Amino acid sequence: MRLGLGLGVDSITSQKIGAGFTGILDEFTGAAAAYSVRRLSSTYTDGLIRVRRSSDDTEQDIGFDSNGDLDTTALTTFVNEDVDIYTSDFTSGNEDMAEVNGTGADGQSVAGVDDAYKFTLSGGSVAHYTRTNSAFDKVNSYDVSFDYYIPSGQTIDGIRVRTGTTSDGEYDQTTLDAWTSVAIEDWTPTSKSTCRFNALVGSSIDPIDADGDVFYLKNIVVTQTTADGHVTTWYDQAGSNNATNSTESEQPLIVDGGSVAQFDGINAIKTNGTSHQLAASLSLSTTAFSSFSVAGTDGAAGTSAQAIFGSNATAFYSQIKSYDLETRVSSSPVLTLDDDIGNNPNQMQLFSSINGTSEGNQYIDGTLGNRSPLDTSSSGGISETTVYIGSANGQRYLGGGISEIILFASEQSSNRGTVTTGGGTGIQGNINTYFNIV
Amino acid sequence: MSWYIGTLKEVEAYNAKVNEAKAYKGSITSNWANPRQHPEDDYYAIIAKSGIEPDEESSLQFVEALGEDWTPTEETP
Repeated sequence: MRLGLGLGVDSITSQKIGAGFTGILDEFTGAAAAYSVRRLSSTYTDGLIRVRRSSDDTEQDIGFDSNGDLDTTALTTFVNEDVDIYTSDFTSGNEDMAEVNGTGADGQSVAGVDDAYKFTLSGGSVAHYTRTNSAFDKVNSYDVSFDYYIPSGQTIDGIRVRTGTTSDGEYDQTTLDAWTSVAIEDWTPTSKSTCRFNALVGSSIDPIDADGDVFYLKNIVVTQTTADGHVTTWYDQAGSNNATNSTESEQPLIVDGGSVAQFDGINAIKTNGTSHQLAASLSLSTTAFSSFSVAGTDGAAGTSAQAIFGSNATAFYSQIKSYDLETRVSSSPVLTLDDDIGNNPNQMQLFSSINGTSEGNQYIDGTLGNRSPLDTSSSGGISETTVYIGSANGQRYLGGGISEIILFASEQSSNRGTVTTGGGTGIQGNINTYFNIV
Repeated sequence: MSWYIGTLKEVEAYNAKVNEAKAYKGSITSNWANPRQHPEDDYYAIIAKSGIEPDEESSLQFVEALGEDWTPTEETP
């Protein structure tokens, strides 16, 4: 695994250190680590997350606004910045189009325009097209602009811009004998990734029997106008134990198809249940442990375990399994808190685990599990150096969303508080008031 | 999510090809994917990158999803 400690903070957006701000970590001190999509402390002034946009892999730190909320304006502005995915170069020797039932030639001059691309039909009564591959990611929106020229007196009388699947959208161009500029805006193909230019006769692209007919293209630009935003770093607001992942395919989403990722209507880091995880170099060696997580799982948690966080599948984790919350707090001897009450799939919930000399309990949305309290103070406890978010070290991946995780290497019985509709007391009440879970 | 399955050498070669094509420019991201070993057998899977195929001489097998045999058996607490 190429996972490590994230330290880069080179472009933080919208940090506003508002006087009078009081965060949950100001009221309840001593957290071992704290990750959230909100500001948690008056003394914390750095980014909440570092984000990589899928359009060009550029990264940027995203902070909070004057209310302490994730700065979603800065986030979507950064992620959805227009990025040119493809720009044609049809000067001689440079064309990179892929032809099907036709031939391509660059450096062509026609109707007063030089360095154009010429497509000549061949292959008989079939479909004829030229294309640029991997133009679209089948999720996001694009602008496509180009110039074209179709001589008159041929069988073909137009070109059709498409991906290869009609349902992705088709754009016919039928001007003859004049260079014409085209701008297709906000095109969102979801089935195919190629941008094709098909020969057209009337309303048909297949079959066309017109070998030797030609059309010309120039100045093709494919611009991605929305993107996905992936979390490379979830900053630790209680210290320096940032959760990171340098591997693209393992980075969770915070912007999905141009919009801020949410789970059950709450801004959340979304994990795919297959590969997404972040890792923090976090030293946890304790027999007293408490965690407060705002997370949700998909329906797969009904049959397989999904870890909100963990070090591995045997020593330390907090997971949903068959819709029960299970948190292992000691591996030798094995001790696992089990709330034995069902959580709800596809619903954001507050999961609390308290373990120490006076209490060994778990709560979902403030409701105590029906198992007897389990005092694990005399157990071996946990001794971990790396904690993963969204999995237990590459096992039991979470399919769902996580908005906040606060970990304490101490028992928080006196601080955990209660949950009431729209509010509550203590740590749970603070979290519920902000995220409006119950 | 689609995958390629093959030997460790093959999936690492595919990952290197994607990394070369991507030429990451961020300060954190530097790698496409990590090989995933089958729980019981000596072969590996790697997430496929849309638009980037293995080299022609590669015998990597393309699958739309990993089968259940790729998921380790869960230990009962």
